[in-house]
Amino acid sequence: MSTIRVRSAASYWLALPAAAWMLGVVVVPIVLLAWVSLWGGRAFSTASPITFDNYTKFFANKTYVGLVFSTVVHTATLMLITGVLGYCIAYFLVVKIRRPGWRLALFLAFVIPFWTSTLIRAIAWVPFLGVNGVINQTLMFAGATHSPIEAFLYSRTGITMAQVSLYTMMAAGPVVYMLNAIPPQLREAAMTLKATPFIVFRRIIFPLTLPGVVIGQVLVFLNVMADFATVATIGGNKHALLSNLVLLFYEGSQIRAASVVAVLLMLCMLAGVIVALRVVDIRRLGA
Amino acid sequence: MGWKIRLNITGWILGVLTLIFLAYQWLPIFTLGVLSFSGPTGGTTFPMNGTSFHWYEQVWRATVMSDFKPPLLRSSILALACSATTIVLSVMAAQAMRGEFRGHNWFFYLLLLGIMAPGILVGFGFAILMRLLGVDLAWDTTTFLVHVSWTLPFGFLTMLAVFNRFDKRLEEAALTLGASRLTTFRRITLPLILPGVMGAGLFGFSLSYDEYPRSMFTTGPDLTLPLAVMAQLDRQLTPEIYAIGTTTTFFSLIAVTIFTFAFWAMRRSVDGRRT
Amino acid sequence: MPIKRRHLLAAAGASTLAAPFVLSSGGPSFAQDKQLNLAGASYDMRDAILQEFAKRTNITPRPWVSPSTQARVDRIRTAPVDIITVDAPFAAYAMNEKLLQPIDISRLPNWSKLHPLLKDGRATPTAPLGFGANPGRMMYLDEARTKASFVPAFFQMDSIGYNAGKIPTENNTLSWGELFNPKWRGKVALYGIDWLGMLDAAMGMRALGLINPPDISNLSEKEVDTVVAFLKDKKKEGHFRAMWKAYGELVNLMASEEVWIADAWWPVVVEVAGKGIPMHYAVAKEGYRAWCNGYGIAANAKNLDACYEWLNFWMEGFPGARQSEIGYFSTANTYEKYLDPKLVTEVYGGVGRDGGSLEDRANRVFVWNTRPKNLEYYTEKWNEFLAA
Repeated sequence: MSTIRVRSAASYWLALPAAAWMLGVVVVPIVLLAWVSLWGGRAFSTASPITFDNYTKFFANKTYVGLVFSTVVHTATLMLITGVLGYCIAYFLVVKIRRPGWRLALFLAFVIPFWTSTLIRAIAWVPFLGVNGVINQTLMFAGATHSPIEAFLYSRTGITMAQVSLYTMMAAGPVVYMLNAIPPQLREAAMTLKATPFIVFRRIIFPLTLPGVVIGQVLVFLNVMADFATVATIGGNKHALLSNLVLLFYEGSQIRAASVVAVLLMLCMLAGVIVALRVVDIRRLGA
Repeated sequence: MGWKIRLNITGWILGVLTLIFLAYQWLPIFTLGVLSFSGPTGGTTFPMNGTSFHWYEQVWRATVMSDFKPPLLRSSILALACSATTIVLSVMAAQAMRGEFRGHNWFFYLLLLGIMAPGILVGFGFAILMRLLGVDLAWDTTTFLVHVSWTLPFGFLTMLAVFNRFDKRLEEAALTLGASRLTTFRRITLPLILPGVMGAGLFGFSLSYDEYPRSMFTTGPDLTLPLAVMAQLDRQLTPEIYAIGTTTTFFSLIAVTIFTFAFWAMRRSVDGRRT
Repeated sequence: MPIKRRHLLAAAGASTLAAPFVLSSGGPSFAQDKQLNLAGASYDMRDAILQEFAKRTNITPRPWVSPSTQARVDRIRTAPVDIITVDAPFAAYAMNEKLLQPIDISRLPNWSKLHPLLKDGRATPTAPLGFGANPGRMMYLDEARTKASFVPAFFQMDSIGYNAGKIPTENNTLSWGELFNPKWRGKVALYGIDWLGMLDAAMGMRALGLINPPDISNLSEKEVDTVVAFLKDKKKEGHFRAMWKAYGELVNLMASEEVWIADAWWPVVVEVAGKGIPMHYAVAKEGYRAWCNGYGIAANAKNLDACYEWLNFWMEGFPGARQSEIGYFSTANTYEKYLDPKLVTEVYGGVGRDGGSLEDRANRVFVWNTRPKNLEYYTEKWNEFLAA
């Protein structure tokens, strides 16, 4: 028994507002975008003929198809870096730090920057990476280089560096949660049975944290694919990934092309999430 | 004893890595904070040319083109409204999931769609929808709707996790003792899930406060704070933007501290009552 | 304790129900009447001008800023706009799309004070007309010249801005091709919006002899392909440090000396020089790229009288003087009473100023900013360049 009868009418009523909200504000616009991407003609009118021309035009363009791939590669790189880094940090925080006071303090230290705007944090990287920026000044001061390294700013490297700083905690967070749920006696029990720490990690701890890893990766994936501001600001307006392309076409008032890219972006995200959901069932979170 | 040494070394390596990353994450923000106190002729990188509150004064002084106070106010009101709406809707939705109604799997994925869909898409699509319907875009109507669609799934997941850990037997006890479902929910369930509710509220507030891709398309003529910051980026990049960054960070921290304190206080009162 | 929790729950419930009402009851907003919705750019929506306008007319200006003229024109479709900052070719385009309404010249008493370059399309009866969209030719909507698509407000002839400490020149003259000189690899910034960036790049390529289009302001598809292919190669070599869209961005780039040469605008030169960096504006060897910005009235403008107030305010001289301070020429010669006489001789007379006087510059116009007929193709290829 619980406060809600299983399969009762009350649950439908409770679910209705949220469902209606999401349907109206998310589903309908996405479907609309898909429809607009199929519009022929040039005017903004609902009477436009339906055609696949916009898609054929997009895929006929080698550069744009290449862009889809380079966006995926860039995202995969970020996922790898943040995944490994995030796991190390999470492991250190949960397993290696004994005193809960320290653990809380460190955890807060990591989480607090999150509560500042992502935009500000991305902007903060510009004075850092530039030719006269802090990193270059430190390197030159330490004598490591003679002239400033230009590759840090307005380049893919710079974008990756900034995004690692922005999103690693997203990869680490769910892992921390899952690691916390593992009772420490499990490790001890395994070790008394003569398992080396490496085996303990590989066969017990890592599989138990796998859901957290996957969730973290999904979060990073979603955020990196959708992130246009960092790419534009730190890339110096020179670089464009798939999300930037939507905006570029939108600003050029080419709604059809923008919708095509938007639909492609959505399909990529859906594909990624579906793969992830096969691996882990997040409805069992916390159970 | 070999593996004990290896454990220690691993511990050290991980520790150093963690601390390096901590610095990596904090340094830009720290630099931002330091540079915001630049002298009046300071640029956006070192040297600072003296220290002053000049840039904070600039932020405070309202001019037609760069006035941050209305956007700050709008963002705060919007975030509070989002937070409240998210709390109510996510508790309702999570409770509905417990009822395991037919189609609750689809419902779950429907809500997840809000997290999955990139902000630009939702904003862009919604703006086109409004254009087709002839509805004017405004920060307090269309942007509010879109913001909630972003924060609600996070609140929903939080409440789901809380309900998953929730001990149903407490409700059962109350129900067997004759309390109505509503009373049980109000007096037993709610107090126990309140920390989760605070979490959902916190998500609602902070996610809405910092949100910009959805806002970009749906605010109409009035800007929210992140949009005002982005507009300022287009103009000259002066330490004024660092002052804004530091100020908004400060406000975020205050809001989070208040929420966390409330969370902690409620947790303590709930735990206190149990023993 | 129970009391506190109950209050909290009640508050949460009430605020959810009340939220829509609270929000829609206004929040921070100006008085609804006496407002003017402007769609402008960062180089004209400037505080001094806006504040003076509000002071004189008691109308509250509400500016919306975007560096892209196309984006501003599109905004008329989706948001309330009264006045839009536009140039002649885009005004013609917007007229075609029924987004602008004709301006009645008889309501503008200072129209006769317009510089002949704008009023008639040439500085003197024998000066060259220049390729592209000449405003003096394009803005009139009828033979009798009683209606215009936009009111010219300020203009300039653009060339190349460069850091004189790093780049040597002879007599402050640079060819447009200097933008692509491999010596400055990694220190170049190019304008990032499609039609203008493409035009500047085409000017550079023409100076280097790489292309020779009959009308450089209206490149054919094949010519666009050539330009973009060249740009993509340059990008791969790392020739460009960054692309810039709003003049503040370029100021930062040049003031921090990350960029040494760019297809800059006058206000950039003024500001960077003011920060102590020796930035100069070159005389263009092949001729300048001229442009003229002004104001059009949106088709669905709400307050027509306020619009004419704005137009007359701009022709009266105060804004013209303020724009002169950042290096633009005022189209109406009413600015002198608001401008320091020394600046008048500097800016208009060319005394101690790069590039000479207004007359010198007006006589060396090669091309006018134009909205190309196949802008969509430009956008598609330009986005390719950015995506590469």
